[in-house]
Amino acid sequence: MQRLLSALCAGLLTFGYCGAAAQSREIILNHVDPQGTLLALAIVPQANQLAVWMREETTSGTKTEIGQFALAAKSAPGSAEHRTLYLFSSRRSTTDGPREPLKLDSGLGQRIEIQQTTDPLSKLPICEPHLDQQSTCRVSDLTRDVLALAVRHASNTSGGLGALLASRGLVTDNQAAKRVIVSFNDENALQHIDFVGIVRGKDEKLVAPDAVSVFVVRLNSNGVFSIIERRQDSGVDAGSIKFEGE
Amino acid sequence: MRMTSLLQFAILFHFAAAAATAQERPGSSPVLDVSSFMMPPRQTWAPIDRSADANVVVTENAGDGDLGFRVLHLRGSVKGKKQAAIDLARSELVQTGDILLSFRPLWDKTLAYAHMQLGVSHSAIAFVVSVGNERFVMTVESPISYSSPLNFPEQYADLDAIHVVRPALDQAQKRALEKWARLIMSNRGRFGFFTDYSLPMYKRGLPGISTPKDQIRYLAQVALGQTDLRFESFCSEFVWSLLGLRNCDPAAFDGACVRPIFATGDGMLTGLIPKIAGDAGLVQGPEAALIGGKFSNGERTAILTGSVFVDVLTDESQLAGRMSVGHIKVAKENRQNMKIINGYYAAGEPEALALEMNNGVTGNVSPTSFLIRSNARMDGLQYVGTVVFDR
Repeated sequence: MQRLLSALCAGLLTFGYCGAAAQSREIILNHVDPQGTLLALAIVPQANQLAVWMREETTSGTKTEIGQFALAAKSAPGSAEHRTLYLFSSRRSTTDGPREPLKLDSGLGQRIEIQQTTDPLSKLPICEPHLDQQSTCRVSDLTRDVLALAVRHASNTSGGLGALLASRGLVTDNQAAKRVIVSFNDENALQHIDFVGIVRGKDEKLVAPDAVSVFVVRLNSNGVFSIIERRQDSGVDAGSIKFEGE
Repeated sequence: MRMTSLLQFAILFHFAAAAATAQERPGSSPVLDVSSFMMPPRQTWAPIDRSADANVVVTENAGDGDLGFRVLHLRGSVKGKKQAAIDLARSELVQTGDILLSFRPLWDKTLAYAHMQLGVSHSAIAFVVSVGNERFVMTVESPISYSSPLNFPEQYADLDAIHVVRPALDQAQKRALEKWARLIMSNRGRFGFFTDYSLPMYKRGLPGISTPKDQIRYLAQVALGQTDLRFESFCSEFVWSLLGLRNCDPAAFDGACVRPIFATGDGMLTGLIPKIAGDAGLVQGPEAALIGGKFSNGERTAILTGSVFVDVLTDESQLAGRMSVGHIKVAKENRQNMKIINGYYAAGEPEALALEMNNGVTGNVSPTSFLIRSNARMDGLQYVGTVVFDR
């Protein structure tokens, strides 16, 4: 029951019902939609290179929408094929012929596949964040919002993320765990999305296995990428410290 | 149809109302919605007073059986910030000498090795300090650069949860640890990080360091500047070594005071203790939790063989958002060992098999060791709570 409540709450967070007080907040996509996180990590950094059929989106009012994504059911037990397959469906899917599956790097050298389908995906249940997925399920609307933002502006940015990284002397990080943090302002509007662990400084040394680069890729609400450098908000001079017994 | 709509409305209403209440009094944290075997048994929880600071709210997150988390809820806005260290000091829930364990809830339902480690990836020691009138929690840890008021970005900016485990320390021992911490923090350049967790310092062929206790003495010598060599350690052997100096006064250090925090043969942990009788080894955190959680023998075996010592996520691409390449690599290298341990539990934990497996295990201290021993109610270690940033 507790898991069901958490899942429901996670889903509702997408629409702002949980923690609904008027204050800015962050949602770590990894926790509420790990399956969608992987998709966002694969698509957003190269949104400007996606095929047209994937970049289709619609805008109604101020909101941009993208087709539906679903995580395909696991391959049969005993199958040697271990891959993550997503299904994608949009209105165009029903009018165009079948297309070659799209293969994208998910960030740690592993590839995912996205396959167009004419099957309606909107009726599928939302993926449960805490269960090993056995059956086909739909990624969250929060993930779709993230993808829609990236795709909407992909053609407007010159050079895309690659050019920005090159200009800042950053390289792709294929070592650190990846995180997607979605920030909302106090009016509950999506403010920016931070991608943590996807880049690092060319000469940046990360000593421990859990270490993550101080450089974070930020996708702003206007579709523009920027680089954030995290710094300690306050240093401590060891000489000025007093221990309790001193 | 009408009934369904009403039900949906009722659920939404319930959650909207619940959310409003949660602003003042957060309940279970979705971040900590993990498998119960990752939770400490209630009987191992340290007694605590109420939080002395309104910014730290304490709740309980119940798992199955007698397992659960005591959750110390901090504001989301203080994550990775010095304010988190200030809030925790004000709450008086974290004390000098407490062990802080980096807990990765996203390791749940991934790989057997990650389950075995109870989602714990790193360890540090906390000291309550002050600068001027400002009190805060300061960590001392390896890598030494991580030592901070919980705000070193590479470590703390993305850390979702921190377990607090309390060793049994008297005031004199806390004061002694403070003196050692002062020496260490004043001589940071003498301390380095060692990346191979499978090779403890006493096995590296360093001159004069051939036993675990030598390692503790060596820490003292480096801190005191009695050698030009550096103390290079991974996180848990640093914490373990520092705690081993709790009975030692730096002003009169002669080595006789060294006492490992774990009361095992050599002060470190082996792999498996058959039936976990009177001891607990490196791989026995989940087992100790399930015993403490009062699961029946049958239930325990089913969980250990069906949920713990199994790889759940076989799509490696799905691991990108859950753990680093370094941790995935270690997990893959230990895949066969995990299968053997699974077989050990499935076979009813035969002593002969445990002893045979232990022959290939080097005595060591993982970051999880402190929670393993707490789960097993050993060495006076107690679980205080788990810090999350969700308010």
